Amino acid sequence: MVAYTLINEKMLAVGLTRERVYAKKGSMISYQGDLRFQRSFLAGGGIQNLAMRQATKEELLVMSAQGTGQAYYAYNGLYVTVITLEGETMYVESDSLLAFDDRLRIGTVFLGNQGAIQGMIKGVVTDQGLFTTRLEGQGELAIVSHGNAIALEVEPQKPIFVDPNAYIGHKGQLQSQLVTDINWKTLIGKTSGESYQLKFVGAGAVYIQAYERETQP
Amino acid sequence: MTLFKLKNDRLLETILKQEKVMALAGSMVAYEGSVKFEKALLGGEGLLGVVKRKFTSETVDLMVCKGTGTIYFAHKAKEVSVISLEGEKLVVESSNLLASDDSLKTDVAFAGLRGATSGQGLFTTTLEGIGSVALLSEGNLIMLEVSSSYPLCVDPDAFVGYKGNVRQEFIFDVNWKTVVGETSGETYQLKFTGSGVVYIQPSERQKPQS
Repeated sequence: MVAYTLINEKMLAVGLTRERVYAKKGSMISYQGDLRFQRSFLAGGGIQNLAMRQATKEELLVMSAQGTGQAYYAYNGLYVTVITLEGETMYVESDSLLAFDDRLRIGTVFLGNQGAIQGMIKGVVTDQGLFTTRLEGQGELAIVSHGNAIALEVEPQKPIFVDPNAYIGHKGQLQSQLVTDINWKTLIGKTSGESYQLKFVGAGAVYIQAYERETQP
Repeated sequence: MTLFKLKNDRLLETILKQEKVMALAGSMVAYEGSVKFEKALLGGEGLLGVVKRKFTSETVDLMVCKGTGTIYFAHKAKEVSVISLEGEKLVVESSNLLASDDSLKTDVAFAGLRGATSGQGLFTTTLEGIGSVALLSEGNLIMLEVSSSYPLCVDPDAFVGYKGNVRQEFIFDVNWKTVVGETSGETYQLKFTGSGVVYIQPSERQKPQS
């Protein structure tokens, strides 16, 4: 079984025995053993998924390592967190996904509600798109974050609101919704900087980072 | 008084019970409960403070968060420290301010000549009263004691703030080497005398490109 170990808070080791692991392109920093590295287009998601990624510009550039040995991964000095899925579904920003393996099924989904305003927000505000990568199954995955990633528990009667730019991912039985706080103050530019939020309702965990991605004009 | 807690070294948790807290605009990363966010037109310091900020171009975009719930604040994955004030006065670089209790009185103070070289503006934010302040720093915030017999010199670019009965002076180390450009990179310093604490960060702000 693919073994994920944190060497330190910013470095991940993945042990392989004739297995395969997918990782963010350019994140391999060293390896031992008999491993082959390859650029991967499909990454367990199939052609349909690839087409969807193309269409939504939700790019997931991954490479695969295959064989027997240890691969070490790190990315830009970001913090690494290993998350275990036990049949749950995890949604994660492609930017933040560091590594996963064949035990998990992967796809692309739209997060947030449809509509003209939301479409505008997606493009204008978050710049990352609200299309997110979905992973499902039994196994581990690794994410990267600016500062330690924090899991906030969501309970049925206690919805949580998250800044789209600090959002990394979520797992469990959660519904997400993009909520806006647009009023006349926002329109004339006197915004608090917190006009758009992702609202999560249900039971599960939301992962955030202590960092807000830059929104590009 | 609002409860300030660290969720981890880069994430501040604030628990509000029908209270108000001032924070850096855009620094909210998550919240639960019923909280409203609004741009603060007056940073708690009244009209005169706003005029001073305008005049000195000491811009700090603040927002007011009010209601009941838990709010998480963070900014660019910088380290966060919580300082509690018990009637003291804290002087802090506005760019290091993450959040402050609404019960604190804030103002803008003249900080000496240092702004001219470090490009941080000539004015600093002061906070006074009883309550908590959350500061941002690159690397862990370090607290250095100043006593009357033991003055302290600090690089203006690493300086974050000070509290207590401290006087601040600007000192130069200009000689012929500096003039011909062979500077050690430590030509200007802030000297603190009196008794209190000075907060510094293990990082030197980048000077704005001119």
